[in-house]
Amino acid sequence: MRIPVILVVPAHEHLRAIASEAVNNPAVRLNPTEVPPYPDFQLDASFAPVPLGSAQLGGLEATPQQSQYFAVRGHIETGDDAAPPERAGDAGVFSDPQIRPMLTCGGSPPVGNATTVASLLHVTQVQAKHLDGKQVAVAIVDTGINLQHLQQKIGHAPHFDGAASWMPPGSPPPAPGSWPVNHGTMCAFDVLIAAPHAILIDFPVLSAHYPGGGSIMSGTLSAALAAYGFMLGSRATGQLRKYHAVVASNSWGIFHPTWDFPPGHPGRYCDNPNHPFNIQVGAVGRAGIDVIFAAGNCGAPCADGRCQGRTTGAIMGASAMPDVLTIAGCDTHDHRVGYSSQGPSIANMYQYKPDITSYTHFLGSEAFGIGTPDSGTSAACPVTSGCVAALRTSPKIPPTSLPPSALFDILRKTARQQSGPPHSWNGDYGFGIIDPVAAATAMHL
Amino acid sequence: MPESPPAVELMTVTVPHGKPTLAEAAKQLGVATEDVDAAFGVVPVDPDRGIYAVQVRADRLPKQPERPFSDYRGPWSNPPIAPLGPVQDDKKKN
Repeated sequence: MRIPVILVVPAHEHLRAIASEAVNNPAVRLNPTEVPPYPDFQLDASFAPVPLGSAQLGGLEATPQQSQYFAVRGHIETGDDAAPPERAGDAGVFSDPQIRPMLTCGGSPPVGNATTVASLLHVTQVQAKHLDGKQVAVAIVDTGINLQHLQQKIGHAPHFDGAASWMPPGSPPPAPGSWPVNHGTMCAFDVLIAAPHAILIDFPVLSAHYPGGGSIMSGTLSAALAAYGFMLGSRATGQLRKYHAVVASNSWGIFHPTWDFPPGHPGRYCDNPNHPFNIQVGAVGRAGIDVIFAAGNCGAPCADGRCQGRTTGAIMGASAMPDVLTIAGCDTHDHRVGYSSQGPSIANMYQYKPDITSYTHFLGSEAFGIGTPDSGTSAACPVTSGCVAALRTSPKIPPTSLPPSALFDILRKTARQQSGPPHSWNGDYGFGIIDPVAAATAMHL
Repeated sequence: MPESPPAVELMTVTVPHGKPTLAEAAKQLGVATEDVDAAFGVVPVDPDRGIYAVQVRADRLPKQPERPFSDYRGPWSNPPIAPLGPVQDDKKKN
């Protein structure tokens, strides 16, 4: 068995020389024949020696010139169950284990803030192309928007169209834009990062109370069906008709198939492309509305408790339809967050989900309290919706000439892949992290 | 205590000629108009294919059509839906 190790070796002129040169030339290589031999160990010539000072706490300064010890990398061949020796001549032998970035999980503190996200998306460059969401409506299909909170957070009143908003039936609900500060307000804030001039539209489906279902933080699917029915009609002949484009941002879903009809039932939702809502999102897309969905929070190893430990086939329902753009989440270091649902989707649905990845778990709206992150694939979805709204600002790509499916193809092709070959799909990131500048360039905007 | 509303089921009807009225949808389903949830209304699902959704009182629901290509379908699942954040670490179901 070949085991990687770190050797801590006494200073040697060749080590000092290479370590000094490495300060300006990281590609410098060690010559193993010029250092004392360490029997059974093969030194890694590509690893420049690292000065360790006296290799003790509070020891000498760790410069190449003064250091008494250096760390070098190497390998040793051992038997299957044999441990490496503790020493190799005058060198100490230390473990060189595989390391991975610390995953961002549900309880992790914010990683960066909304300004960081804007910087990573190169929003300044996007806006230099006059792509800022002007004349583009973004429907926040969620718990409802609180405009007062948004105004406090961004320093001015966002653009908002109450007349084009959807009102749930039943006892008089709050007016559009005046719902309690909650998840929907977070989503609205996150849209504005890339599309500060987009017109927000309120679709509080998660606060709707139809007979037979719904609580303060959850509705039932029929509310979304009703809301999208309204959206279809409004886009054809109503208030939404006046907008250059309409984007629908959906940071909701079901967490486990047990919420649904039993497997095999013809009326089931989560794995049935013929369910009315799954048919409807296709019709909405064909009507030219860009429908964006969060992938879900059932990813390994930090799945939401409501996933009941089920982390495979976790992208379900409308999030697993080919007509929508499905969004995974990463933090502002480009690392997938540990709860972001991974593909492929649940069996019987379109498998290559998520489509792309966007940023989440940053300090933004503070809708859930001061210092709390905008988190979940819930935040990644509206960040993407903002990017789509910004791109749709351009008169060169109206939905009539570039339908949602074509725009989504461009977003997939221009995404920055994080593992595997460029333009390839993987279950963690889909086709990679959204790159609105690359997408704009690809469309000659 | 106020009486709780009757349970309803999600159904779809298919019509060739544009959005049906509540009464037309009810007739196709074989139920009375008052058995169809007026607050929900007749919701476009895929207007190009003439598919619309309604909610119908569960206790008045028609039997499954014997003809395989009948003009209505259902009941369809109407599961709870929930926001995808913040992430909950506990095992609580929504």
